[in-house]
Amino acid sequence: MNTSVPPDPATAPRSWRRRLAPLLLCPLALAPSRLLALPEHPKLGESIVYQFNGLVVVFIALGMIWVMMEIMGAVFRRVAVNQAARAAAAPKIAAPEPVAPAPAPAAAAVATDDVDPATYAAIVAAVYCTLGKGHRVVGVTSVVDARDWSREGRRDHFSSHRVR
Amino acid sequence: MLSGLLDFFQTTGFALITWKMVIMWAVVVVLLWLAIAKGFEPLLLIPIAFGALIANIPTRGVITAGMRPDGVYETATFKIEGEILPNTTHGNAPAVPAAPGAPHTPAPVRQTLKVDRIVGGLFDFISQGIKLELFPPLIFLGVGALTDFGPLIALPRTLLLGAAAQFGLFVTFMGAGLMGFTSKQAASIGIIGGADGPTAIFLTNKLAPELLGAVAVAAYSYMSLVPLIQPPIMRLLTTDKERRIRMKSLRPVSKLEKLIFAILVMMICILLVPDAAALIAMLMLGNFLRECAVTERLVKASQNEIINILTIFLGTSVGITMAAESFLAPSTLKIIVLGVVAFGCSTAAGVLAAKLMNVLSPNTPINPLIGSAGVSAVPMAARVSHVEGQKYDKGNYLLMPAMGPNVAGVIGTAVAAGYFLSTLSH
Repeated sequence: MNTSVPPDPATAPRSWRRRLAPLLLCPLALAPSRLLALPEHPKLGESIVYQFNGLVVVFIALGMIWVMMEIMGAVFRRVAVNQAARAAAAPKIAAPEPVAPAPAPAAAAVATDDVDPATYAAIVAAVYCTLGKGHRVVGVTSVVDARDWSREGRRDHFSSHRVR
Repeated sequence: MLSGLLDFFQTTGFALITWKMVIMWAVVVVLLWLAIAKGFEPLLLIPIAFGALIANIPTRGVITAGMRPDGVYETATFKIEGEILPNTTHGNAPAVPAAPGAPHTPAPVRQTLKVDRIVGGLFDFISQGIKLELFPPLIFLGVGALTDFGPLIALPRTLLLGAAAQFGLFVTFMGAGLMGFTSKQAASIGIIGGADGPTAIFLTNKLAPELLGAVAVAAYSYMSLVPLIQPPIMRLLTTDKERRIRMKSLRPVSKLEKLIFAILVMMICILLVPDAAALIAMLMLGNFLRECAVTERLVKASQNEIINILTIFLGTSVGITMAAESFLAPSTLKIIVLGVVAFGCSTAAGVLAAKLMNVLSPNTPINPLIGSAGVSAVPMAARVSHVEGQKYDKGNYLLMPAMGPNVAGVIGTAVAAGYFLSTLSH
């Protein structure tokens, strides 16, 4: 028997996909025949049904994403609350040795990363030279995720669109 | 001697200049003025205008264009010269004897063509990036790498504003149909309301390539005119009190959330509208590269080199379709008018949807000004919402909340394009 001949859709047993298709498309069931075969010059009624179905599709897509995001957000918020509670319950670790204050007038308050005193002094001096008195460095953090290029690219791209 | 000079003149481009070309030069000057003097989307309008200028000068070796017998002006075609080799065979698989009584199916004919040379101009080849639908998805790769979906994830209900802002697309579809356009052309015109250039080009190239130049110019022109078109509509539809609504600060969104978001959105959208797969997949690939934070070089390339190079190619390829023979037609004027209708309706629908959400959920109000950002002119529309809000309350920072509907609009427009493609392209 020649297996390349496709089965007759009218007589072939319906697969589960075929059976589920009407259910999946039930929000679009206003006029499925029109939805799938819009004429070249549709009548006003056909046009209205078509655009309504289109809006339904867009709302279904973005609505599904909304629901997913709400669920995911709730899970992540709960995890964050649990982590905060666990951190609060844990015994406090002794604060690290403060970094020696820089010789500049802008004295350091907290150093959050391991920064050698010479680098720290250079940063504080740079702050003093560029911003003057009345400023202090409250923390120095290494860029761990290294997104500076991304930020710079985005800033550059965004600044090319001028708001009048 | 005089006849020799006249013969030479006939070989120059001057002899081929037409009055329609001169009109198009004026259009080019307007586009360049908008881009350079007014600063409206210069990155796109300048390549488009330059391409349009090239299309309307008699050139050789740049692009092949001509009117088809059916009246469609076709550009960017090239010839393949070769010969069919004599060892032509019928099929390359061993013939299987058919069972007695089974219908005879002839084996497919396979022939070998030896290509000697491919003849075409520069833009015959560059424009294949549009014809083969390569440029728009690759630009979406860069857009994804530039987009922070954090505000949308932190305030996911603003997705509905992005969906509502697609209303203009469908209204314009109906309007274009009433003005005599076919359903495929009407869909290509309606997508202008989405304010998403690559998507408009992607859809128009598939459904109505004869309108590509006019649709692209209208889409990009209106995108650049967002700060002029949107504010009057926003003011008309909101009260002074509504414009002063301050929104809560957005919660911080973790890296894992952003990664899951990219995967989920891609899967949902592709499963629902497979025809939008190329756009959505590349958008989310770019975003995933960005958020995973371990592919710094790829992100940098997507955000800068890839998108910049493609912007030049896309802009000039679109501009070169604006030959006078196809652009100076009554349909172009109709497209320009319908485009602004689409844009206005989308803006209004976004603002009204935000007001409706405030009625349904009065405890967590959102500023209706961010509804207009549902059109996907990223980030211009969000900045317009922010600037407009600050006119009424200097301390009201709407930029980040407005980025939510803004990026939702990108997804919504891609989904709408997928709907048009899946229902009209077959």
